[in-house]
Amino acid sequence: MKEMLKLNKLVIGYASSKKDAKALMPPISVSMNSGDLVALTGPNGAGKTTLFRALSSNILPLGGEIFIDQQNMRKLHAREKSALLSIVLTDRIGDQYMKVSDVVASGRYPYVGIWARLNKLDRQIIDQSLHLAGIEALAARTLQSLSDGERQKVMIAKALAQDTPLILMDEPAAFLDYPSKIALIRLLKTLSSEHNKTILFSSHDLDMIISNVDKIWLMAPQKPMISGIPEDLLASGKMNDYFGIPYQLAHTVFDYAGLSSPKNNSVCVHGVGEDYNWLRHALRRKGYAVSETKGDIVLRIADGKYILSDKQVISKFDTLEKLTNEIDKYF
Amino acid sequence: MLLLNLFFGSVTIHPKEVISAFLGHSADIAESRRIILYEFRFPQAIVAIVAGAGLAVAGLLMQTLFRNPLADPSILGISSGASLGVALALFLAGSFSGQAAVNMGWFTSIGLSMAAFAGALMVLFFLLMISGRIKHVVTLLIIGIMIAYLTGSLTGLLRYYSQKEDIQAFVIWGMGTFSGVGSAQLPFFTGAIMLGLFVSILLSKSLNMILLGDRYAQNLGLNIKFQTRLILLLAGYLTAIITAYAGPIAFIGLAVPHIARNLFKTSDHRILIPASMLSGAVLALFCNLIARLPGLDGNLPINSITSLIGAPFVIWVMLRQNKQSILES
Repeated sequence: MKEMLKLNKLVIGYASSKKDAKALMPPISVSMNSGDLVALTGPNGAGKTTLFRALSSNILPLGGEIFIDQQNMRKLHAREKSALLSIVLTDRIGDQYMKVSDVVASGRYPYVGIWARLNKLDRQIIDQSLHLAGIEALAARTLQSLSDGERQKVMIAKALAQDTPLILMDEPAAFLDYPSKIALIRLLKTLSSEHNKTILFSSHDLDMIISNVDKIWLMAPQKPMISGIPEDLLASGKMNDYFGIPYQLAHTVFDYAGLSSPKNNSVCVHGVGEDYNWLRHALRRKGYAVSETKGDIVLRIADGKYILSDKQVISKFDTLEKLTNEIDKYF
Repeated sequence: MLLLNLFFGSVTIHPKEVISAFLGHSADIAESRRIILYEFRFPQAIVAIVAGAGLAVAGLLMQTLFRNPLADPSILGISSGASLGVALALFLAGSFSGQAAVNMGWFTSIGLSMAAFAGALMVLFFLLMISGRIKHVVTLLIIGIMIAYLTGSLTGLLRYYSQKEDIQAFVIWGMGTFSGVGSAQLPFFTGAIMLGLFVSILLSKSLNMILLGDRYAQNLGLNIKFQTRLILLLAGYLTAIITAYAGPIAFIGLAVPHIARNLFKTSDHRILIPASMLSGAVLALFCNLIARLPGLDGNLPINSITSLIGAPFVIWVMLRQNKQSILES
C-alpha cells in the first residue's frame, strides 16, 4: 500500500506575530494510504477547517511537515502542488453566467497554457470527470441554476478534472438532503475504491461516516488527533470522549449499509453486547456476511482482545483495525 | 459609430467628404473641413475608442478582483487621486504666483494631465504598498473607498482656498472630455493604453481562476498575492492615464462589463475582455456623439452624458438580474 498523505508532527493554529503563535492541538502525526476514504470529524472549533487550510497551503503550518505522495509541501511550487491535491469547498462561487462546463474545465488550468486552450486529452478528461460525477446532463447549465447537491457534484467533477491523487473536501454533506447524502457517499466510495482516489473529507454526519469510511481522524479542541477505523473509536469510547456525549448506533438511521460491494466470504460471530455490535458493524461495513452459526473463520472477544480462529490457528488483536486488516489478508 | 462621430458635430461633414478625405482625394474637400476632421474629430474619436475600451477593461478587472458587480475603476480612489493632483497643482501654482493658474501661459492642459497622473499614481502606489499586508480583498476595497473620501475632502479644502478661475478650470476638467489629447500626444496616449489592454488579455486565465474564489484559485496554482497586485497595477495604470487626459469619466467602467456579460452570456474572461473593449469603445463613441449632436453648440461635458446613459442602464441591469434569479429559483 502506498502512503499518499503523511503529516509529520504538524502543528496548526494561528500566529498573530512570530513569537505569539497559538497551536490548536498537540502536533499531528497521521497518514493515509492511496485509495483510502477518510473522514475528519470532531466538535465545532476543533480545528478541522484550520487543518484543511494548512493542507491546501492556504495558511502556513506553525511547525512540522506535510507530505503528499512522498513530497514535502514546503518545497513545492503552487503549480506542482496543484497536480497533487485538489479541493472541494461549500463556498458559493461565480456570477450568474458561469457554466458548469467552465468550472469543470478550470480543473485543467494547472496543465494548460496562458490562453487556457484545451487539447483533446483535456477535453477527454473533462468529459470523463462529468461522467464520473454523473452530471453530463448539466454541462451546459449555469452554476446558479443548480441545487446544492448538483453544485457539490460540479465541484467534485472539477477536482476530478484536476486529476490529483488526493482530494480534500470541506463538509461536502453540509447542505445536502438525505438522498443527496447517500448519492454523495456512494460517489466518494466509488472514487476511492474503484478509481484509487485518496479522499479526506470533513463531516459532522456521524451516522454516514461510521458506516462508510475506512478511517476516521478524530479531533477535539486541545486534544491530540487520533486516527482509527470507526468501530475501534466507538468501542474504545474515544468517540464519546472527544464529542463529550455518548454515541449509540441508532436503528432508525437511513440504511447506509449495502453501499459496500459484498464479498463472498462469511464470518461467524456469536456473542452479545456493545463490543460485539461494533465488531459486526466493522465486518458488514467491509462487505463480509456475518453469521451466528457458521463461517470460514470464527471471531470472539475475550479480555478486551479480538480473537480470530480457524481450523489451524488462533490469533489475538488489540484493535478492530488490526483484526480487519488481517481478515482482508486472510481471504 | 466611428464614422458617425466623424460626420457629426457643430459642423456637419458629409460622409462623401470624409471618405474622400481618407482616400487621399484632398481636392474634394475644403481645407477648413479637412482640418476639423484630422485635427479634432479624428483624434477625438480615437481617444473615445481607446479611453472607452481602457475604462471598461479597468472596470472588469476591479469587478472580478473584488467579485463585486458594483466595483469600477474609481472605487479605489485612483481617479479621486487624480482630482486631488489637479486641485493641488492649480492651488499651488495659483498661490505661488499670486494669480490664477489658468492665466499663466505655461499652465496648459498638459500641466493638468501631468498633475492628474501624479495624483493617481500616488494613490496607486499607496494601494500596492498596503495590498501586500492585507489578507482579504474586501479590506482593500474598504481602504480604497476611504482613500477616495480622504482625497475627495482634501480636494474640497483646496478648492475652498483656490482662486475663482482655477475652480472653474477644475470643474471643467472634472466634466471630462475626449478632446483633451492633442494630435501630438495621441500616439503616446493610444500606445500606453493599448499596452495595458494587451497585458489584460494575458491575464484572462488568472481572472477566470480568481472568479472561482481565492482558495480555488490558489489550489489551481495561482499566486494570489502577486496576481492581485498585478491586476491592481494594471487597472490603476489604465485609470491613471485615461483620467489624466480625459478627466474622471464615470460609469463606463461600471456599466460596460455588465453589458459585455449580458451580451455574451459568459463569465469567461477570454471573451469578456475583448467584449468589454468593444462595448466600451462603442459606448464612449456613442456618448461622444450625443455630447455634440448637431444643433448643440460645442461639446457637452462627457461625464454628464456617460452618467445620464450609464445610471439608468445599471438600474435596468440590476432589475433584470433580480427578475432572472426569481425565475430560476
